[in-house]
Amino acid sequence: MSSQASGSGPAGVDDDNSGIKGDRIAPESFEDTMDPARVEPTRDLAPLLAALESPKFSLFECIDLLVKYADNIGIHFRLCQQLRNFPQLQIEFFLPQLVHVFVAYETESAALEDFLNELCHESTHCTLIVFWHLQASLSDLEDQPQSYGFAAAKRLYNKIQNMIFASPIAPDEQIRDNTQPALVLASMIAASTAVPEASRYIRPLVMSQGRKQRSKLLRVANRLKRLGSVSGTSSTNTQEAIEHSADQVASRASAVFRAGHQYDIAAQSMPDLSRVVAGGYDSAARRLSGDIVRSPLRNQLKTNYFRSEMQFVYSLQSISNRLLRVPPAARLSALQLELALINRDLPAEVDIPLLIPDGAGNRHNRIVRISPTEATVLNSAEKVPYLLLVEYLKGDLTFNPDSERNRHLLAKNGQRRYLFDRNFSQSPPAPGTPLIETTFDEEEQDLGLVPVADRERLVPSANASTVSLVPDPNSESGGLGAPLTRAEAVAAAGNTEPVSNTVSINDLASQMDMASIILSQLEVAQSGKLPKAEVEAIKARIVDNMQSMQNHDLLAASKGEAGARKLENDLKTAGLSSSDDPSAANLAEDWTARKNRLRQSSPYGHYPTWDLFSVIVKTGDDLRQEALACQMISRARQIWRDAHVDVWVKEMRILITSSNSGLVETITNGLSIHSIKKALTGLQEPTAAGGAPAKVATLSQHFAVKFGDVSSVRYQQALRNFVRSLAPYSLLCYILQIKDRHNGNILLDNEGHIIHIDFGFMLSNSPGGRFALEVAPFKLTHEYVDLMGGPNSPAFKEFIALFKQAFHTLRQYADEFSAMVEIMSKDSTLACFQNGPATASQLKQRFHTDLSDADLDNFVENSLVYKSYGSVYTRGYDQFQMLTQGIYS
Amino acid sequence: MGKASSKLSKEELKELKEITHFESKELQQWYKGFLKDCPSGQLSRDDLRGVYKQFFPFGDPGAFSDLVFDVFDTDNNGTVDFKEFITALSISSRGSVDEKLKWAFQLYDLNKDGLISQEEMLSIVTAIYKMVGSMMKVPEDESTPDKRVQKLFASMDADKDGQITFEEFSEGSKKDPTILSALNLYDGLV
Repeated sequence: MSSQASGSGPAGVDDDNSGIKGDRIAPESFEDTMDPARVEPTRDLAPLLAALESPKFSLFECIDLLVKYADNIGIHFRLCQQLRNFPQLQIEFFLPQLVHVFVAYETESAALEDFLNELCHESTHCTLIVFWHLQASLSDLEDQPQSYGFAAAKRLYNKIQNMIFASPIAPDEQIRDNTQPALVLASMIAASTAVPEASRYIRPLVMSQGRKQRSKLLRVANRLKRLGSVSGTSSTNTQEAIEHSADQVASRASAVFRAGHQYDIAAQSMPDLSRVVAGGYDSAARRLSGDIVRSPLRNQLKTNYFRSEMQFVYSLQSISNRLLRVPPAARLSALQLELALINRDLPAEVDIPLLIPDGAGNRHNRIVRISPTEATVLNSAEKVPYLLLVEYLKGDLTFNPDSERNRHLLAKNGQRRYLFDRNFSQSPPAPGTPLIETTFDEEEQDLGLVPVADRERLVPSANASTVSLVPDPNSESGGLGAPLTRAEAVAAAGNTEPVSNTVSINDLASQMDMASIILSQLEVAQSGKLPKAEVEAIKARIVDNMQSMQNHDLLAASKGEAGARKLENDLKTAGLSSSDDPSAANLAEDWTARKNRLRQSSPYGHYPTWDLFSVIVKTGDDLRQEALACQMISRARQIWRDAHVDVWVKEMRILITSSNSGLVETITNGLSIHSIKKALTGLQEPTAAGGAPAKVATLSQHFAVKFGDVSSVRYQQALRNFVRSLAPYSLLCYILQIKDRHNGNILLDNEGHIIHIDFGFMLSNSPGGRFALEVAPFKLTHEYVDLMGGPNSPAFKEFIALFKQAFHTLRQYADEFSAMVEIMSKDSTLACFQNGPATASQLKQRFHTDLSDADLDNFVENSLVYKSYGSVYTRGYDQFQMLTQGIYS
Repeated sequence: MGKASSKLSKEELKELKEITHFESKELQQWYKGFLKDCPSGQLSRDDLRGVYKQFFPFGDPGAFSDLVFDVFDTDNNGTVDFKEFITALSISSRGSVDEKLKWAFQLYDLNKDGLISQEEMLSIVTAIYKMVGSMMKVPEDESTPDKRVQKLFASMDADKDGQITFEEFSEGSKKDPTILSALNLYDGLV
């Protein structure tokens, strides 16, 4: 080799006019020599480097840059290192974005996958959130198994599943057949003598890229077929038949879990999982593997938590699916019975990630009880969402193997039994009993049906040593201070003989299921031979029966009281004279009062860490759009808070658990304006067919009833709250184009704040599409203005002032919001992105960043507020809703 | 290696097994990966620059990439084929320290006279500093390529003749724990 031919001799280096040669004469500081401007990178990365060093560099900027620099491995890697500097809570907030970027933006870099994988090792909540989001992405991409996104999502999903369900294995450190990192590796060995620090510096990136899996083995389908032929079930008893048909109804929800089994199996084909790590010093993977080796007990406890949690969430969703088959009249009874069944397995190692704020020091909350009689089926046309009140102990759940309760759990490791699973709760297999073989074909697998033990067998390796930590239901559950037995808990809830109750509730469950099946079969039969009247009679009798089951002792406790109390509270809240809308009534009771009442009656109420959380379980809807809206509203809230803008918006969180299910945080002190008006107006139903509706009560009337005299301090405070919340929500409705703003989607809380909910229509989709009625920038009715005291009142002026102030502050973040929408809209199925790339640019335009501050003020007054004030279109939409949906305008 | 076919022939395998530390299966696997990244089976100088740009975006890796290319391209035909690639990988990841140092020496001895001059060492160190840019933190007494070269010569050039022989290079590298551990960074990982 000649240096001339290669052009890389000493002279060649000098020819690169790096100026470095000059440095030899005048010794300079390291910083000077290494100034990026002086080494002249071909792409100008100085701004990027400066941004990375800036203390203002935000997590979202980092995510945005991950998209912009997806084409460069080194930059991507550097950005992912930066991600590690942000607090975990912030990371948790942006997990939907991180997962979406990971799935939707193709890159050669393995850094984001590594980051998410490590994050999952560190945080159990992040694991669940990432896992469920990936699950949702996988079901989006189900019909494109060859796509980049599907492969990426599946890969990480497999890794997480392995971590969760298989016994922990040291992460694979082996370099695979990736040429690029191998070339760098070899050359840096050669460079080791000259600058060993440089070899060290690049090693993490070489490892990250070197570990990347190349060959994707998609032998899933075949493997699955073979497994499908395994059939060891001898018993086809009634219970199983019930479960089977229940699963058919739940099949949509379970599709994802079925898919989950596939990924399980695919994971088996991953090579070298058990390879022992050798050498190296720097990677986080090393730290993790060390952790796994050091704390196998902790990992067993985590595995138990993951299992319990997933099973818990899945059971809650299954209930919603099963309720779909139950006639509306019997749904409440069925729901309460179902929850009573779940209650038998509580307390357990479960909480609700994201929604219930965690305790200090990485301690999770422990759910100890669901109050069956407090649960409510919500009004919905085709689905059956329901609301439940969850009792929990703050920070009671840890993975410390030395705690009393956890020692107890670990000691039980020989016994396999699974929580919240009807099959299992009936007859827990004795220790040492071989796993039950269950028919396992593609149509019927899902978590509810296949005992978890069977899923476990699909997980690669080390099954034998995977221990189940679920406690025996009949023994004491240690660790809760004065441990309560399950029987006691049941007794406390049911106020009767514990044993007989436990038995009969199983019978009840079977009866309820049977009834549901017969009912659904009657639906089918109706189109056939049976005389209609006869069918109706049978149906009525069954529904009657189902309702009577509700009077079972377990559920009967405090029932009458609750009814009376409801009425009482309805009267208290907003001067409700009566209520024919049970869901609204339930929401209306003052939260603090309700909490105190429940605490009094709860067997766990005496724990100082006891608390109550209200959550809505939803299935059948993709909640990711809702979640995105809530996220953007929360972000705006942060921005206003940091800038000391005196406005109020409610922070709401949604936990996505699949592409069509999730848990939604409830507004505990609010009531929809529709309900308020309906109650105030009285019992008169609006006449749908043209008849004049009764004179509808106004918000001013409500405020007077609820907060007293206009001049009172209470009233003025409530009015101020109204103004402080109306301004930011109005701005957000305009900026995000939140539509479908009828009064059922706007709440008032007991302090006078307005709260918007339901974000099914925003950005680029609206009800009615092109013929949308809601063309006003936001909803500002005469009624709102009247409540504030008219267009010349101080309150109205304050509203305008706050609106402007909020706008000035928020538009400084116009780029962030439009980037957020742009990033999330790629390859998205969400309706709010139906305008494609234009969605983000239109959003950006609405911020009017080109206007001066004074011009923006004019724009607010003359365009936004003027156009919105009493817009005939807004009124038209309310009237439309009144006529078609019975929603009060 | 001739035309790129999807699998290594028996003869090729036999030869590679002899000159590398890899098994047949591993060789086939790496060959498959090599063809995926480089379908023609021939890696050009520009290809390698592209790789370095991916790994060192914050500096200018051009000079280092070219220097290293010449080490990979043992037959000087202007491309790196699979044999040349896997040989380098074998030595750097599975070879003994002596093997690694012998192979590495080629990077520094640019004029092939069996000695590393200060000029030669400076060009390598400069190329590496340029490549890594400001991303790497180094101690004050190595803050410029020149300082680093002086430090290296002070420790390696035993007879102080301003040239480093292979023996001096080898001994000097082995007695410096930082260099020694850098040489073994990937042991057991490939």
